[in-house]
Amino acid sequence: MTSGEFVHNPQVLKGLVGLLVLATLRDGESYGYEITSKLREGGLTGLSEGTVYPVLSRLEKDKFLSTRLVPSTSGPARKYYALTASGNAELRKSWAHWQQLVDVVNTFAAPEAEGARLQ
Amino acid sequence: MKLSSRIRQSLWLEWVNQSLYFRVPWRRRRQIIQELRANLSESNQEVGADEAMKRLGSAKAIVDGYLEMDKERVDLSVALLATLLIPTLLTVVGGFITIIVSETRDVLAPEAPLDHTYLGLYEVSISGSAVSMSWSSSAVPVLMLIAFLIGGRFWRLIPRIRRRFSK
Repeated sequence: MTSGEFVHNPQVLKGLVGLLVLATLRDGESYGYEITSKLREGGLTGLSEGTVYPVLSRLEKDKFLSTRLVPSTSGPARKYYALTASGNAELRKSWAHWQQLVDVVNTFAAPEAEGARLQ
Repeated sequence: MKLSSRIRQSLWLEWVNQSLYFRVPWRRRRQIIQELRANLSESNQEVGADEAMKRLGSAKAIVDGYLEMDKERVDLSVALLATLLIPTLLTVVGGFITIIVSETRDVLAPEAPLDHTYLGLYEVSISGSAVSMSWSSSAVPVLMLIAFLIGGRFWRLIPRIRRRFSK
């Protein structure tokens, strides 16, 4: 599996999209299409919008995001999402969990760890 | 945008809409479709209709994503099916019982008509060779549907209440 395939793997992304969406909204409110575009530009080139929209809906339901409808000149009204205080706390918590996971993966799966085990 | 792309996108949205029907609250379903339409419109302008559809991904995946949030919610279509199937099965069983009773009656008291109400829900009457079955009242199926929905609501709430107390 190449690194490109890895970041497109839905199973890998499933648990991370929430964290990434929250992180995207740290700098200010945004709407679904724009959030997906930012994540694509950030490297998740194969990320489908269909993966992001249900996550936005779940985060809104969990009160991590607030929403407002803004009329658009180019079509239907856009739904803007913004981080709430609990969304900010969730972002920090998810980031800490991610760091712990990275540490565990590095301990077990890094090539140098394999070398150490073989010695 | 080409007519074929417009039709394709409308069908895609309708497929998602129909797949969420009865399975997510109607207000949220409407919001989901509105939001998808708005994002699709944005995407159409930026990258074109074909690429916009490609970027949306599979309709089934997006439906599954939305349904994951409501997996504890009772499916109204299941309640409707239960309202139709359970009484139908009961009626069939009741019909057989009534026929057996009728056969016995024919031996003991021939020609007497036989009417029986099962569980207060439906009636079976046998007169001569004619067997008819009907709801005891037209309100029964409506009341059963309401009972299934209320039952479904509690079924959904109880695990949540348990989780709240176990925290």
